[in-house]
Amino acid sequence: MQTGKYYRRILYAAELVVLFLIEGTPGVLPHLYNVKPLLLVPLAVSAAAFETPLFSLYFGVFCGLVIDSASGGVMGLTSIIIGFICYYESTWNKKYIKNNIYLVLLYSAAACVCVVEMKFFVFCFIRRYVGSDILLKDHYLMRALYTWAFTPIVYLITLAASRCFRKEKRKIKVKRRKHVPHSQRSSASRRRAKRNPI
Amino acid sequence: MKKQDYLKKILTTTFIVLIVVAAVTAAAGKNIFTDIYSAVMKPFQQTAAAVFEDPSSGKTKEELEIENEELHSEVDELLQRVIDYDDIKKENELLRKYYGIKDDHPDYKVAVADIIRRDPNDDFYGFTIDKGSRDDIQKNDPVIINSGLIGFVSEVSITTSKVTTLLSPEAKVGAMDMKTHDSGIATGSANYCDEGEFTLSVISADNKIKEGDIVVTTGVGGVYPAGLVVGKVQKLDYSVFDTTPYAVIKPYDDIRTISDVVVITDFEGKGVIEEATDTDKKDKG
Repeated sequence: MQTGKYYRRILYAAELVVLFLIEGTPGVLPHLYNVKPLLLVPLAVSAAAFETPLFSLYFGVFCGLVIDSASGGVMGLTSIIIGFICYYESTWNKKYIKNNIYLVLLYSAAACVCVVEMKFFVFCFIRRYVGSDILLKDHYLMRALYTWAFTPIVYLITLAASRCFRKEKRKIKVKRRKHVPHSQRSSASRRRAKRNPI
Repeated sequence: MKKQDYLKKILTTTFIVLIVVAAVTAAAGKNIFTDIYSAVMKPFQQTAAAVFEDPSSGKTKEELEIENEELHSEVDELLQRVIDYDDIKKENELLRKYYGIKDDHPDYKVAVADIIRRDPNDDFYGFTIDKGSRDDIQKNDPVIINSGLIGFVSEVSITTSKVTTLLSPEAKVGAMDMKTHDSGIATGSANYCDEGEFTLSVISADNKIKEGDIVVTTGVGGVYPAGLVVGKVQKLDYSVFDTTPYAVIKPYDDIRTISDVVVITDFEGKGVIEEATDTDKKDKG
């Protein structure tokens, strides 16, 4: 069971590397209105749907750090947002409501908007670039939308990765015995009941 | 009876066709049917020849195994040579491409680099190159292509560097009109970055800049060498806020799609802050 867990997490790491390469390599993903998606955001949110809160937090933070380190500048802002969303997604998944693709789409939308708009606030709004409104409309909102559009694909890949090394829980069938009064039982069944009272 | 007639017709037609074919091929001098046949049959013939090749080569099993191993190692060696050859060929092509730069400016020390990543978070088409501090690249080194300046190195690690393009408002390069010597600051703008253009701002109100003029670096500040082409004037416009004039510059190559660049790691006058006088500008122009 433990080995399966580690293999699963290695698969997530491999997925992270592949998606990171895909999003950054020139010419692999097409530009949509001059923007490209941030594939690690849907990955972190999708992985949180199948993992423990602690792992989700770490993985979200790690994905955020990778995004921050690739874009340069302030480190950790993206990590905080993604880590927070992933942690709560996983906790709520465990406690209240079972995750499904629709919920993951919802969490992903929240993560995309928060990450992208935080970037806009830090890099454009505070620095007061001329034409920030154009950037918000044409770049940041489009990037959030384009990133979110990749969620179903990334979710399905992560679902496959998570199921690869997960053992299926055996369904224990409990046969209900029909209650027979003691007096009506046969001698053999009485002996069996004596031997095995449960 | 009818069947015999039918057969006779077929026979006659076949003969006629064959005669026509013979006549055509004889007249053409080249037998097209042989070509078609050989093209179609060659793979089958080769396969058949390989299958039915005489197996009695006179070698034992051990000898054949040794020979097989030798051939395998030879193939590996040749494969490695091909890979090395491709690498050298690519490097050679890049060096040849940028040979003109080095030829025109012998004082330049340059490093040819490939673009390995374009960050999706960068709104101004910044990118990462495969050369770093190990290759003598430093922060603020100018980055150029064949047609001129495109940006500067904004972050350096050991093996890679991040380049900020002229499309970014972070880039501020002293530049001037080559013809009229009107100077200003070449900097990016959110309004023009998606068209692959940037602006020449802080120009005087009575400037004589015209559409189509070539804009070059002034070299003031010692960060960028003087006389590097930046682009050509696309149009003149005024700021909506303070009605100051600015020129829209279009680089000669599309900064958004380039795949390899040259970093000028050293040049004459690097780090020397000089006052740009009109006479200097005229000399450089």
